[in-house]
Amino acid sequence: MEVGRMRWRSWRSATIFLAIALAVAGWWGYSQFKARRQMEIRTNNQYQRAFQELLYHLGTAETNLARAGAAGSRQQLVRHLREVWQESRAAREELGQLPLLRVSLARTRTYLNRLEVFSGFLAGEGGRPAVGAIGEGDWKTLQEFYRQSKFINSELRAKQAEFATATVFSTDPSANTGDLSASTGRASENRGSGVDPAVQSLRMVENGLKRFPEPNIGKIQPPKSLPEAFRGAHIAWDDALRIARGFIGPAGMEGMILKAAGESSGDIPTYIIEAVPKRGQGNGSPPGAFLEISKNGGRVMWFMAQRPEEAITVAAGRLSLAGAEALGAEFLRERGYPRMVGVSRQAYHNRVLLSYVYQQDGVAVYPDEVKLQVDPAQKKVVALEARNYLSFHKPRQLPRPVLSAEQARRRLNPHLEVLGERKAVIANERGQEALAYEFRTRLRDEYYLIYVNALSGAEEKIRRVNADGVEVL
Amino acid sequence: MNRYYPYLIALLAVILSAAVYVWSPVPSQTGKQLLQAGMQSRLASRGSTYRAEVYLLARAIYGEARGEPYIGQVAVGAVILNRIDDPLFPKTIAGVVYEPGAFSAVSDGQINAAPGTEALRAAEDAVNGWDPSGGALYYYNPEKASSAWIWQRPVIKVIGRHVFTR
Repeated sequence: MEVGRMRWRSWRSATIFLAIALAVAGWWGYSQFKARRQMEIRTNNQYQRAFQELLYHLGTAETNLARAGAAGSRQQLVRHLREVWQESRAAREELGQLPLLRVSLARTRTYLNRLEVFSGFLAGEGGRPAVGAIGEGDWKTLQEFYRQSKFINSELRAKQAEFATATVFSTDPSANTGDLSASTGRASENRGSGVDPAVQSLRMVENGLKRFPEPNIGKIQPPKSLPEAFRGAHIAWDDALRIARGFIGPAGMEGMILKAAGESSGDIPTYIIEAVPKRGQGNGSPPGAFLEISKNGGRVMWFMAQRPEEAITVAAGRLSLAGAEALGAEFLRERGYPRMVGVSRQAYHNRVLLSYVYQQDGVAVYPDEVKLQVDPAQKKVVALEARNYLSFHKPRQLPRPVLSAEQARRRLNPHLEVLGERKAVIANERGQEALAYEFRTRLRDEYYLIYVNALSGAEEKIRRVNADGVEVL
Repeated sequence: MNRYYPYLIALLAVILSAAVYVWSPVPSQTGKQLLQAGMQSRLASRGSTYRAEVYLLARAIYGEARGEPYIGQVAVGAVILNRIDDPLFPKTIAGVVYEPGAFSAVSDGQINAAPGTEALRAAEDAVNGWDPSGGALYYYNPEKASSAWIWQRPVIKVIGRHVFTR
């Protein structure tokens, strides 16, 4: 009797205790659920904002395309083209905020990018025709852009009511993965009608746009031709290994063996070669290195020595920047880059980063650039990047300047103190090259490189640099 | 003794769930310190060219490719930079890195860990123009990738555990 009573009492208190524990757990669970719900709403609101802004930018772009197409004066044309440029750029930004990475929107994104490039070009000086506000061909292209813009907006408007109601995008980004054709994706299985309304209508836009011709902006984009350096004869693995051995040099090859590390089938097919210490990594043996050699022409595209884990310290004392630059120039001379001039030098992460450009008749040719890294402790070149040089270098017929250096100098901002001058070949974003005077100038305690076109006198480019020629961004 | 078991079990359950709740991973503070240290060393060495973007790139590299060969880490940084130049992607490092669903290290929060010096150097090398990826726009780890979509991309090369694709 007594024992039974005690047992009953202890079970009663246990039950009460468990009930309290359950209540606490329940409350905790509910608060977690609420917090999660809140996070979901917040994420959804962000997607809503991005999507609604996307709709706004696409709509405003259309309006301004219409106005630009009707403009008769250069002033009005430029004004509306600038709006188009801004809106297409902003639309692209908003697309990047949405969980759409795996939704194939290549045609739509390309459309926006081309619209941005075209409107920007047309609004600039380069797009000004000899007579009138806009050339006949450009006007036709503009109309094609307008036609497609109208299509995009009409498709999106058709679903507008749906966007405003529920979740525009599932907060689970994986729910929106899968390609256009994929009918087996998780998203379409679980959601009856398919995916979220926004994704659905963007897919409709994408599919619809594919029926339109791509607006012709050919003359603005640089032609994608294979550079001279990579049109040479196809080489075999043996040749590549021989080239690599010559590039690293007898001193660098000491205690090392070369290993075929793979092949690359990028724009420029290459052999990947690894130099590894004979005795294996570590225990005092020199670190290995990687280099990549083009299959055509057999050029070393880049090279990089492996480095052991080391702390970030300021590289100082062991080799001056000028000393490193001289070392690098010698390295380049030995490897078939005879006329290179150093344009910038900077110390970082125990390395000195150096940039050299090709010099033709005393003119610095900026597109033909090679970058090196020097280890000031070992007094050795540890990395090379020659893709730019190999892609752009060619024999150039340099024009005779129309302006004298003195005439060009008078076009500079009068507040600048001119420290030096030389001639340079520079390229714009479209890959068009121009002969220019490069003025090294100072404004208070900052340095600027100013480029004045030697033929037209136009101020082509302004770069803020530090005392060592490193661009300050 | 027997009669205390229910209490003990309940107590253990409460302690256990509390422990899980309290000790669930939180982002470390060392990141901020390292950022400051990194910034100072670079301000000292090369004027004011330091950009927070490089640090973000290093974080992305660390989250995505730590333990990979060094050039594989540079290659991951290069992929992010290649995307900036491609019309199909956002135009800034932050835009590309934080594009929803783009990188698993962003989705699972690993990007918030402080990067090691190797990742920082890899980020600098990528920003300075070294591209061991061969112009790749995507990469995946064949052991982990679940999306059928990524397998269909034309392969450029393999570095370490990553397959780099166009």
